[in-house]
Amino acid sequence: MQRKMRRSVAIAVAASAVFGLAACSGGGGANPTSDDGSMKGTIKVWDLLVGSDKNWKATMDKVDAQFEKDHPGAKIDRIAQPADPATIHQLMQAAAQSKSGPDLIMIWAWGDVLTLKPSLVPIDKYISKKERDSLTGWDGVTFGGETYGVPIGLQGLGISYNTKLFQEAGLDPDTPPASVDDLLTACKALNAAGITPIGGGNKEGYLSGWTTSTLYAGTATTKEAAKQATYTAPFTEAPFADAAAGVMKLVDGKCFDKNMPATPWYPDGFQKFQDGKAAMQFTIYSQFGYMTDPKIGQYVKFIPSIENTRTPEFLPAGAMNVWAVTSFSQHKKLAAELAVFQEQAKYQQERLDTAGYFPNNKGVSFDDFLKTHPGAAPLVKMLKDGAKTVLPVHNMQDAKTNDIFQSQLELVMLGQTSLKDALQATEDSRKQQYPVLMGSQ
Amino acid sequence: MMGKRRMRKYSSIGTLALFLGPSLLIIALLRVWPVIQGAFIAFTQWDGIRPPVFNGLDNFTRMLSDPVLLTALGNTGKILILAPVWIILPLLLAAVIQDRIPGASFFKISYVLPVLVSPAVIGVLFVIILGPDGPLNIVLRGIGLGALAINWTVDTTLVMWIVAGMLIWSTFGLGVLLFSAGLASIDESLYEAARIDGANWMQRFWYVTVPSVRGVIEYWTVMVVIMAFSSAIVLGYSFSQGGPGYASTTVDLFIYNQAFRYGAPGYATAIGITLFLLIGILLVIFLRVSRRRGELMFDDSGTPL
Repeated sequence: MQRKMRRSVAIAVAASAVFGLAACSGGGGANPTSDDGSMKGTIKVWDLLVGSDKNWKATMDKVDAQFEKDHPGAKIDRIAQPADPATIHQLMQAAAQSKSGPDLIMIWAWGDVLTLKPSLVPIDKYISKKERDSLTGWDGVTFGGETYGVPIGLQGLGISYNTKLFQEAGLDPDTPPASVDDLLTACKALNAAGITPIGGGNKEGYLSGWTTSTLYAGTATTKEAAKQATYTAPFTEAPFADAAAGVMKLVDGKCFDKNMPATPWYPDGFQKFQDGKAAMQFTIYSQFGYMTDPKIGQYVKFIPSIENTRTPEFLPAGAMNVWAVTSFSQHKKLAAELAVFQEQAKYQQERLDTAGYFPNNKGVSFDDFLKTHPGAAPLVKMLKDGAKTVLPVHNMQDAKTNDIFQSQLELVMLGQTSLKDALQATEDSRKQQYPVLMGSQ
Repeated sequence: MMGKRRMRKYSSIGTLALFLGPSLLIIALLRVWPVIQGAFIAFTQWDGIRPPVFNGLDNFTRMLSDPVLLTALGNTGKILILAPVWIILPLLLAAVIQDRIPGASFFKISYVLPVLVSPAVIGVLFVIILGPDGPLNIVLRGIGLGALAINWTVDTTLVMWIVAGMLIWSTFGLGVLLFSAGLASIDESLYEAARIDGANWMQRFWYVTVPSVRGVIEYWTVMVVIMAFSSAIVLGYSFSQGGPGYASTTVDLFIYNQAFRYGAPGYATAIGITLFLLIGILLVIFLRVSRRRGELMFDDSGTPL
């Protein structure tokens, strides 16, 4: 009996040891391989939109069905993940440690690609020139000459304005502000008419980022913006410092509601514009739903770029998101093929027409979209004319530096610090984060 | 000798190992191992993805010169300053309820309700209540105190005190429950004796109630200290995102940001471990002092002196 007991204990201890060793063997980080992986099996896709947007899901269901049909033996397991960078980082940290997890992940351009780069694999060899040429927005996924993802859609910034309120303030609705000086003049007229010039809330600091990015496109040359993307341009100097100074000009020129610093960005920040009480609003392309709003839709038009210190050379727009293949994927080639496949013109067309996701595929037609969103015509014309796009500058900051910049500018707006000190704090963070982010540490 | 006898009772070490082994293994894997691993990570530079690189005491020296961490510690300190209120208020309320005031159950439920609400919801609710045109400012303007109707949520001098107040408000109901349970077990004859001796309510509270629930006070104090260091994160984040600037960034939010948003889990772990040791030392000192005071307040039979 005792011998039996001893044997049971020995088996239990041995099993525990094996279990323990297995649990501990996950450490040590990711180890990218050059293996293309199997062309059969299940591709796990982490999708940030499939759980929250039924229109997106409907299109992606079609994508999955068609891809599986075209690739016998391949199956797609599309998993809804929260659109929160911190959560995705946590999940990816766990996946990288255990060297198992998704094959394809949806993340954000530039900052997240850089942060997660050690667990991603370059996909240059899986993309044909034709496929590459069909899409824009590669600047947010290309580092050190290697491509770490496929850009999804186009997300940019600009100013929506209400032509009816402009008219009420004696402003010409067909000649919207084209520069910061024009904006200040418009703000004066709108304030005199008792209309809030620009809606919005900066309680969380988001408005700081959006406004700076919009004005940066009217401050920097394309060359300067390209340098900014390498994270070597100081935030304390022009053109970034000039863009931030432009933001403060708008604040000092009473362009915003007096409660702007205490108003939450979502959803209260947009309420005044939506209620037809604020004449302008910094908006992103995916918010063109304003143009179909029964109350203000017919009056809403969009200003794609604003001059601050120079005539804009580019639009502040880049990849909305990115499909990236993980280094621990067992189906790297297949995952990369899926990434490109789902950004085909026909699927982007459907996403634009059903949910207003702006496309980065040059083969997408805006004809139907413009019928319901005529206010977006100036932007669409610029894109059709081949206007350059550069990722908004606040997207070209790591999460920490971005937090610092936005919250410091918030303090400047509250009169708690100077713009010089705010930019210095941002620059200090950039210097600290640069080696971490660029992989020299 | 005694040990040997006890061991025989369980027939063999094998039986002991069989029964205790699985639990000990789970504790070792899920509790002890992460702490050991955390202690190792604290001495590395690690982004959570690449293999950690040993960097000696760098993370610890960085802590000493990190102004944001010091601000965050100061903000958590503000919560700790209010700890006496956080500890005594639930006890006072429980004592009042224990006196069978009319509607005692209603009050008890009212105090406990905020505990049941998610901190994220409480944070958002207070954003609405304290908003520029929120109910509080509307009331203030309505009663002619418009000058006091400020932007509460972005006032850098007030925002941390508001977060601390929210934290206490949302958790003190738990303390009321704990103290109510403790008070229910006090022998009524102690109060009768105190009444006969002419003690008023406050004296009965101080000389009978407080010593009798000393154990609960100790437990609640430990809980309060732990909550001060670890429970402000959700409330603070949903209410003010740690801002404006760093005005409401608490040490737990700071650690979270470093670990999961700023790609510095090694640094975050170093802070976590230092705080763990600090809190541990503080609590040991508190419990020792408390025990000694308790010994001076009770005689050998456990009767308050």
